[in-house]
Amino acid sequence: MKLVPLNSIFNIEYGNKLDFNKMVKADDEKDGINFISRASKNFGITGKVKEDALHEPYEAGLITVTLGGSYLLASFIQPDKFYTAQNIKVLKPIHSLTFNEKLFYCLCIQQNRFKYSSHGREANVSLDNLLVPIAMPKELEKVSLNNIVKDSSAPVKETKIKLDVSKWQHFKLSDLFEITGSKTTPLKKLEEYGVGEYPYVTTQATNNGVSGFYNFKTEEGNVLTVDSAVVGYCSYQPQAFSASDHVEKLIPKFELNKYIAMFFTTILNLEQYRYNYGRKSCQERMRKLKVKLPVDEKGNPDWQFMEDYIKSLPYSSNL
Amino acid sequence: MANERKTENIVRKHFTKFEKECLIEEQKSENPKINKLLKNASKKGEGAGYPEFIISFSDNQNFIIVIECKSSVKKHESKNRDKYSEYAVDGALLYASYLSKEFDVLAIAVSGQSFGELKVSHFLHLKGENNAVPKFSNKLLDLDSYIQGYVKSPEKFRQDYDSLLDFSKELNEELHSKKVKESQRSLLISGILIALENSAFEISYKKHSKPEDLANNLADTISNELKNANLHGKKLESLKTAFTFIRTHTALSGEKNVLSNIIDNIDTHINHFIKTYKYFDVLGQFYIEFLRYANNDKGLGIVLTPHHITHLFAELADVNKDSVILDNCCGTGGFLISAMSKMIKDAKDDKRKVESIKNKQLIGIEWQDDIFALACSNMFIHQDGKTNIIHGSCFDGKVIQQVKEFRPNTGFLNPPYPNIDTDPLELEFVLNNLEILQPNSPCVAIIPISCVLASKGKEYELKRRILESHTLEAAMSMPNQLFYNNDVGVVTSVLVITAHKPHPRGKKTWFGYFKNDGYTVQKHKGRGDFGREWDAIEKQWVDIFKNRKVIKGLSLLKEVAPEDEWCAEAYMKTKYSELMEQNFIKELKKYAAFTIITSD
Repeated sequence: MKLVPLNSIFNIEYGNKLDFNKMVKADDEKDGINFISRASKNFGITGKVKEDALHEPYEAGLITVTLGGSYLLASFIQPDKFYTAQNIKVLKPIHSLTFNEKLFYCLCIQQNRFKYSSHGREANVSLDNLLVPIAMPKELEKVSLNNIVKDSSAPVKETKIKLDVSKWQHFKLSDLFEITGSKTTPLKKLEEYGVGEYPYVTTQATNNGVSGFYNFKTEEGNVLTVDSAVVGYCSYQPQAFSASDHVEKLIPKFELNKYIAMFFTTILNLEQYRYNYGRKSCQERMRKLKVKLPVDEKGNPDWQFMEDYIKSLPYSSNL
Repeated sequence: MANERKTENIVRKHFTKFEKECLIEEQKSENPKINKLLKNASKKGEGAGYPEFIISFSDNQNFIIVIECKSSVKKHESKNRDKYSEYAVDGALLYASYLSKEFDVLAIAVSGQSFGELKVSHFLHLKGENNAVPKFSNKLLDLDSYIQGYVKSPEKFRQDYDSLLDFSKELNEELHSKKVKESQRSLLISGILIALENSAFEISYKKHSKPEDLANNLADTISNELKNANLHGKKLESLKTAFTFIRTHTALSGEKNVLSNIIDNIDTHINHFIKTYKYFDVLGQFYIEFLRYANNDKGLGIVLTPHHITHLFAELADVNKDSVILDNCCGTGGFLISAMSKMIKDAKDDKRKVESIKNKQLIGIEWQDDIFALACSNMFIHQDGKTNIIHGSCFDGKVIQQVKEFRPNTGFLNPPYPNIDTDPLELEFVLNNLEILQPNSPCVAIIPISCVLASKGKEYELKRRILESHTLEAAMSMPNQLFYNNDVGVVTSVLVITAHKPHPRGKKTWFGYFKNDGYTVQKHKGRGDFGREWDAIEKQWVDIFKNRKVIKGLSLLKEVAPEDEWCAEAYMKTKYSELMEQNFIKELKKYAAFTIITSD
């Protein structure tokens, strides 16, 4: 494949070089302009700021590339209007490119990471002349998110159900679940077993608590897990898994499915304000905890309602 | 017909009175720096700007005043402040925004035809800031009021404080490169500050030709100053020992200009700050900075309290001119200095009262040698040379007796954290403080929250003893990252306890959930009040504490026993009313994203 310098495909310039801390933050999350920093997640968006009279924001659809920082050359197609921090370049296609083509070049740029290091050789000077393929291979045109996810926001059932929290009743968590610990498996040991199908549940509060998949399990699935080390993050584990230290298990004393599980994780994650590094969500505290749930005429938890409610929400068809 | 010349004449007449103290220029300045900045500051959009008056000062080159006049009061200020050539305020602010690239600017907008109808607005735009803040009243003031108002403004304080923190970083690097140990850095600074109190030293330190002579002279001056400060015998000897490293340090006593440059820098930066803003624990701030990167000293278990919390303590305990403060593990004396500041303010101009506050009403105990030396120096610098810091253990019967004679009526403490099994627990320090206090005195302590959660064991026993003899008034859960700058992850709680009054049956304790103090973390700067929110938050905290207000999500009243958890988060009600469809959808999205990403 023929390689050409990046600046023959894009007009490349330094971004706004603004300081996020000196910008006026947007009052409302919905309006306001994305501020792009050198973060490697969430398109590099650090927050929303108000439009600044002295600076024109960039338009949506341009590509940002970080020149330094811990995730150098992180490249994103910006979904909305944006400002940038220092050490970020903005790429405007010279001739119009499709979304897939832009994505292709983002990946091409990131492929060059091995040449650079933060606080070492940074990309400021050489980015413009980075060699990239002259065009995207034809077969990549077919790749589309729609082939992977079917109408992602669709609910299972097209009905509207309202919540009326005022009629809910308190239940002791220990009456609904058996609260126990899990067996701790060190990462080292898992690496010996090798990569496989079983999730490794840790105390992280992202990606459903899962930090990797290995060929080893110690716990049965269809339970809730709660971290007792940091914030008390609750997630649903459908399949058998292994766990790191401080992962507690909530084994249901009722018929649990993924819909009811979603109802519970939402409710239990409301309790995080009680927990911190000095006061953890340990088994003893969880046993004392009471949560509010919708009830049927007899005053029992209304499992059917919880399931139906979750099924009525957008994205439920993707569970 | 309104005439702008008339307005200008009024202003000119007003400021000519002060001609001896400043330089008044019109339209342009002889100062090239000012002219360069005004070059692009035209009110019409292009070209240079010509403000009516520019006032500068030979003794304060960072500060200038810029004045814009308009004939008619109708042309005083536009709604959006963006009609620069037509309105006085708009124009003044425009000039300020340009000049603030290099100066602290006071922008004055004046309109009107006579002294009677004159309309005046003032704005302070400090160097490097994004915005100007309104200041002063709507009258022309004398020059001294302007200067005082500028020097003493909270904005100026923040700016100076920020540059002090920047300086602390520079100094830390400098001392690091000269291989001065972390634990000795604060001592060196405090020693230099003590020596600079001596005018003979201040004049002569640059004149030593040999660095060794200067090092010895510095150490001698420190000893002499301390001798004159109520310090004798063993106490003096241990302080002298703490400072001896200056005499023998390779770079300080051997390399040319190293020590004299450090002294010079400290004189300009720190000494100036201390003299302008009295009663601020500067050394504590430096100590935190110096230890931030020092791994070897963390084992000492010393975690200095951030300044805004020491300030909060003085408010919570209602410190006044008659308070007698005890801190039984005083560290660098942060609580004592904050309290002193409030007490002296309360004493107003009563010189004898101020004297008594400094001599008899601030008592600290510190056990560790080098920290003791720091505490003494710190008190010395703020107290005109007197100090009541006791070197010893607060559990020593003799020390307790000695402190009791001062009849302390307010206790503050941030106890050290136990390092090995035999170290006393935090609550033992709290009980020790309570024991020494007069009956009915408030004791305010900040301790790890885990200390007040136990339902069995040693900590439970200490909780029981507290309620047996004293009253638990309040417990406030503090922000999780409060000690971020000390590089300590511990989550803390503030207790307020009344001494020697057994906890009454049926009494409800007040619990606060104080997780947001407005501070945020910024790269390279650490945790600070960057949004300027703390003052308002502190006011609210103090108000709801003093009036024992119950506010949803912030505070509650609850009767507790020794075996209960003494913290708000155990008893707060989850806000189900705020539970929305949005919460559930977010949870679904997260889970759906997880399943999509991990599917094949």
